[in-house]
Amino acid sequence: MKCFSFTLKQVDPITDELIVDTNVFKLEGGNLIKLTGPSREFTEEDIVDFDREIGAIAGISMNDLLHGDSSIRVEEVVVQPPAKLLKVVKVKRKKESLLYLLVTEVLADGEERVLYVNHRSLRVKLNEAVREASRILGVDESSIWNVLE
Amino acid sequence: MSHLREVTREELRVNYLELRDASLEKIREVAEKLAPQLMPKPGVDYKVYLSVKPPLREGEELITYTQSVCPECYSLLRAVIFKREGKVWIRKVCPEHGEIEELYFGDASAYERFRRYQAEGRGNAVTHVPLQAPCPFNCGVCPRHKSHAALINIVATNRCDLSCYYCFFYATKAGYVYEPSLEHIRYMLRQARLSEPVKPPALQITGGEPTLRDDLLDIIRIAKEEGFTHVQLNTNGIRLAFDPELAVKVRKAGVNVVYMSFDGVSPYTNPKNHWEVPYALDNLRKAGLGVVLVPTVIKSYNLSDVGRIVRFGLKHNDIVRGVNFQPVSITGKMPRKEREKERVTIPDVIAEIERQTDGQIKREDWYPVPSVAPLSRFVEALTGKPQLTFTTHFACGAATYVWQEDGEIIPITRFVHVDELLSFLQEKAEELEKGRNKYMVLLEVAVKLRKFVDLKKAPKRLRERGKALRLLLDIFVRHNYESLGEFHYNTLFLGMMHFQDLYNHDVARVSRCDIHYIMPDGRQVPFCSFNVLEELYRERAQRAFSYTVKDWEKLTGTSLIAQHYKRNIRKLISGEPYRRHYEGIIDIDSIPYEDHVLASKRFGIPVVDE
Repeated sequence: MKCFSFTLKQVDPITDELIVDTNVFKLEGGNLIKLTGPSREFTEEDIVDFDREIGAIAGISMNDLLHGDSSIRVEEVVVQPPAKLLKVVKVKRKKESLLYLLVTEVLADGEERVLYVNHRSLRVKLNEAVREASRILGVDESSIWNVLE
Repeated sequence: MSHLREVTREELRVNYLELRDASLEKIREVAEKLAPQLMPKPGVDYKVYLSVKPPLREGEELITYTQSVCPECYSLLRAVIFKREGKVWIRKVCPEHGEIEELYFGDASAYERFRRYQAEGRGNAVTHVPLQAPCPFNCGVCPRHKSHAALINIVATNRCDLSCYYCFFYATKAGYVYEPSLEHIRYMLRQARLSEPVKPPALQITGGEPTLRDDLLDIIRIAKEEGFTHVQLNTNGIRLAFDPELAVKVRKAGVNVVYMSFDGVSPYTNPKNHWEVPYALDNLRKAGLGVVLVPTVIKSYNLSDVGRIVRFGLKHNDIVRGVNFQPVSITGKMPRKEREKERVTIPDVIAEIERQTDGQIKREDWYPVPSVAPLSRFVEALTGKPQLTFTTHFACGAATYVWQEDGEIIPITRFVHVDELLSFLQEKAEELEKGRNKYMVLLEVAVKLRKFVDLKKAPKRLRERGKALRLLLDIFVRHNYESLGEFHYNTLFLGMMHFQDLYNHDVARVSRCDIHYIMPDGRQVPFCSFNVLEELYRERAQRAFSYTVKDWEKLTGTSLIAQHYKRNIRKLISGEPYRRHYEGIIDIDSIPYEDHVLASKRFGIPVVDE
């Protein structure tokens, strides 16, 4: 599983400047454990995964990376299925910071299913997203607030 | 394109004779099974060559990098957008087919002005296909798409009563008949309305020529039943010209406006329907059904006519609601020298309109489509409900409104301070989003709106009793959108919509597209994927759900060729409506009959005397 962290500064077609970090947490015994792995350069092989993990959720696509000045790293995280995951995509801009929460389930055959996402089009308030994620994961809301901090 | 495997096409074709009477559930089952197989295949339909960076040369200034496709093999390429000699260009290099350079936007300063209005969409929470391929080979809509659809197109048939020389789409040339059943259409429309949180409100029924379908009224009815509040009919106007009842019937069935091809005011610039348009307008007038004229603009062909097209629209403003210019999208492969004769972009057309209207409609009067996004944001912040927002790429389209009074053309910018109004609404939207009391904001809007309107310069009709201001108050404060209808009456909307082609293709534009097609396999595809990568989307999907010509002719007991229109020019030009509509626009009597005939025949439409 790939985690993308990057900076982007663009003026075309929109003016934007942002820092994005992605973290993955695995549900283990009622706790959320941060998964880590080796980091490497972004390659052409990562394009579709980038768009799936970042473009679909935060609205920043590979095309945006090409449009601006960007610096991107890929962290390879190994997930042993079956597993329930909480992915947190943090988008930091000058005026605002946005947090996207994604709850997924990795099935025994490796297939990953999305159970919840506070998609940007829905304008869900963060406390509502935390409440929903905690319900699906079966953990206290405080556990999620802790990892968000 | 030769790279497509014929065998794939044949394998993925259903027997439509069996599906035509099927239930919606059966159609859904077949569509869902076929859709994944019809998706573009890496290595077969396209390759990815993003590491090849196109060069910049002396005298060129970088604007940005993007992605595009090779016109020969559809491979995904890195492209550079740059300035040179006051214009904007796009260049890409395919390792297999070499360098391709094309004009992207004919005026670099207009590009920079339009870019300032870009607004970013927030995508769709519910999409139709999983994300498995790079853009634009994953259309359907995919989860990465940035805008929600504002207008859905549905192809009702690929049959056409015209046989224009350049068209390869219509059934006779395509070699199959695509004509989804009513239940199939209902399935497609339901697919289009799956989107969340903003469902597309508008539908365009298109073709081929949709008026050839005997069950057109049922299609309109189904569109309304499935929740489309605005239905427009895209037509060449031939049938509307000869069947006065048709306009009445489609209006009663629920069509809100007709989109009618209209490439120029003379037989030379509009051999498609020059002679029939006056009769179609009269019938639409009698039916009370408004029409938007749609000229496709080609540099060497009808760019010289754009001012007269505007004047024609104003002359018939009682029924013509707008003119939507479409700078040419080049179909098929064409050498660069040939393309240069045809290529025209939005700022080129705008500049010509300014020149041909003696500066009455200036280039500053035009605004790019996403400039209106603050209006949606304001309403969204006020109501808390997601609103339809036009977040297409700024290079895709532009618009303005004009009125005519005592022979003078008055654009909206003469009496509405558009930039200031948009900034004000943006500011108020931000305040609402931060939690400011909405009644306080509304009060402030009501008080301050007048400062954005200069009533003294407004057209007389909008000046009376401060009507212009009242309309703005109705829209922004009272949310009474019926006022919009009043605003549009005797107002001429002028639009530009530049659909892409394989030469100027830009993924940044595709990913922001808000005009989509719903396909028979249930996928919803942006306009410029459907029509630009047509072999991967339009052709493949429609062929899969089509009749063979032989089957269709046997089924209907008629032949495709027999339906082709034959024009009686002598009769058309001698009618009173013809003279009345073109009087004051062109010198009708100076065109010899032989020229009329030649123009029609060259275009591919036969002429008869009786």
